[in-house]
Amino acid sequence: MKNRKGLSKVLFFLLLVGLLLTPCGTAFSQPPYKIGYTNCHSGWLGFMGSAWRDGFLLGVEEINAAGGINGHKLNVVLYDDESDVAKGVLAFKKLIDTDKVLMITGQNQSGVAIACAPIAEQSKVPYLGIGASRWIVAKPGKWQLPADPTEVFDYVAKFRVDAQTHVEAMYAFAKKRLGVKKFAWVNSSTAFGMNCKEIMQATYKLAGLELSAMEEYGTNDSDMTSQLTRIKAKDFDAIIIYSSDPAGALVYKQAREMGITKPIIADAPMVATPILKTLGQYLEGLYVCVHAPDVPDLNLLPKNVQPMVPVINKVRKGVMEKYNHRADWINAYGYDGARMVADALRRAAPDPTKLEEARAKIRQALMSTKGFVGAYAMGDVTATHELRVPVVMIRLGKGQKFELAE
Amino acid sequence: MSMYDQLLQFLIAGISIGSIYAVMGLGFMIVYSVTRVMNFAQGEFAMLGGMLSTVFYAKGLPLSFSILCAVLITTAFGMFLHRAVIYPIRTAPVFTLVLVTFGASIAIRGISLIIWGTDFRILPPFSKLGAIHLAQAVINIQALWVIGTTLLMAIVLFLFFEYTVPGKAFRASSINALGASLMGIKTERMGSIAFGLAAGLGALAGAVVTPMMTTSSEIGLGLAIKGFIAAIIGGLNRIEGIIVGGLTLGILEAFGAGLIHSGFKDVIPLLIFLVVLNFRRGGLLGDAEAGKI
Repeated sequence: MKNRKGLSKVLFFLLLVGLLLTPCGTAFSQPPYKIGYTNCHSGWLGFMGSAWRDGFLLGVEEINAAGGINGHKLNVVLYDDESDVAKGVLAFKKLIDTDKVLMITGQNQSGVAIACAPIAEQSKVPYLGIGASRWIVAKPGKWQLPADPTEVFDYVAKFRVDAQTHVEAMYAFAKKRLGVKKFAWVNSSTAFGMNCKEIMQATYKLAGLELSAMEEYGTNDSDMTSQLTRIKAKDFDAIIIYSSDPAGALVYKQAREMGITKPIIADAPMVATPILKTLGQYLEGLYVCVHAPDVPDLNLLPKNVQPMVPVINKVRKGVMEKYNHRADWINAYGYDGARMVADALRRAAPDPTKLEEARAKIRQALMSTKGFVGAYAMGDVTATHELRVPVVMIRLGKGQKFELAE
Repeated sequence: MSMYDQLLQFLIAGISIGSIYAVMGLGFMIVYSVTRVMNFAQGEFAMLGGMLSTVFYAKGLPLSFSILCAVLITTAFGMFLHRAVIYPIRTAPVFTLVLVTFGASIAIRGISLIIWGTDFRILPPFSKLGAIHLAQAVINIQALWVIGTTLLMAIVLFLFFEYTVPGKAFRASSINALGASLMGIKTERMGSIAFGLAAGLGALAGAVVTPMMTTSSEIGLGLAIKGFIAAIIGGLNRIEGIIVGGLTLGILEAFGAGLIHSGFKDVIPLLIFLVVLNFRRGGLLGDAEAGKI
């Protein structure tokens, strides 16, 4: 008799302890926030997508290590679209219909992002786009270069990394510093490249420049002889290579091999870590329009972007510790992506069990982002649902050393 | 730069890329002659040659030794591919065998992507001389290496088939497999040798073109298709035919891309393919009976 009573007491005590210990097992007191992320981690744009993912996941890790967003863990559903537009659209739809995420971010490849923006709008899912083309935010037909889009989607926001700010910086630099009057233009034949060509055609005359030649190449091309030969036959003061793929670096290399000595200007992807690692030694003398996190010595940055310095340093430290290589602007971009998502979720404070309501709240918070200080972008989300990314002109010196060119 | 200089530049570009297509075509021919299989993994041999060379070179081995190791490993792999994948199903219809080689090429590419990722890699130029100037056109010294290596491979292959006993045994197997085996030639070994030889040549071609055009896990299929076209339009049975086929393909591609639009680079080989097959079934230099080297 005595034993049975004692036994049940012990069991009751154990049950009590068990119940008390259960909450201590999980660090997050609230249900997780599930967001979707799809990007090109392999394929021709894989070098960019995987670098963006690395920065993004670093940001997510930091957020969760600090207790999540108001006690909610940030859970990411991740897909690789292999740089294939069809696969990218399918992944996007899957995130909405099957995974039922609160919001989606990702898609460096403009072609995929442009296709998915209307889907986000229709399904009322907030989408933080990261691809370059402004057609991601602009409703079809509602954007006439060189002005801003006149009508934008309600549910789509993006970082303003489009070619317009970059080419305008390039024109100003070429005219002022290099004395350029006529230039030859090379772009890749992707959606991004074609969009950049449109932007160039709409803006170069306003800058007082003349266009000597326009050439294109495929992202998997490795022989640029025909294009460079045609450029050589014309009269030009400089070449602008607007490229987001390794083939662009080959254009520079082969241009120099073919005896072209005039200045050549390219865009930020040329200083991405994989390209510098493989082709960096052939890129000496290239002028590049880069972003703040690319400049190794942050003291050289203009005053207005100095607030970004501590965040850039944080990313550099984090990327070196986690991935053991120097952080580039794409890692910083991905990191900002995570922080912007977290910032919107924090202000929206949605209830993850009420999907439609949560998505609407997140959309509202995303579009009213103010005073964001990132490692790559900074400022307020504008009326066109974009967040500005500052640019700097540099020159690649010997041993891939960055020299401030402006 | 005058039109003459431009044309000369296109011609040089065409000959160097045409040499690679020719070597790919030779690989197809060698395998087809003995096994009756169109090996679409041929392009992956070139990819492996380039990638493995960069891997060894990155580890600190001297350049020539890295390439040698890459070629030997790819040759062994080619022989393994025949023995393990093709030989066991050799009695299946030819179409099945071709599909299997397609499958093998996808598998090889997939494994390469897993091991080495999507990064493209490069080797330094073989000689430090840079470039030669011919009027206003520029000849990259590496292009001379490419053309020279192709010529050397073609000559060695010709001497092998014409003057050595194993080479003649090879030709015998290609003419009549049953008759050859009755004469004591082990035809299954000929199949492995064919694959190994095609793999080694492909690997060397892949390595020698890497300093100019970089290499990555994805370059195989494009090269295989162009090599296949070069082999068909050259007439599948003669070394000189395939050399002509490859060079023709490369030159027409370079002129088309140069004079019309660079987007035509991939369209032109396929158009030539259609035209040649329409008018000369046996290819430019070949006869109707394929199989006789």
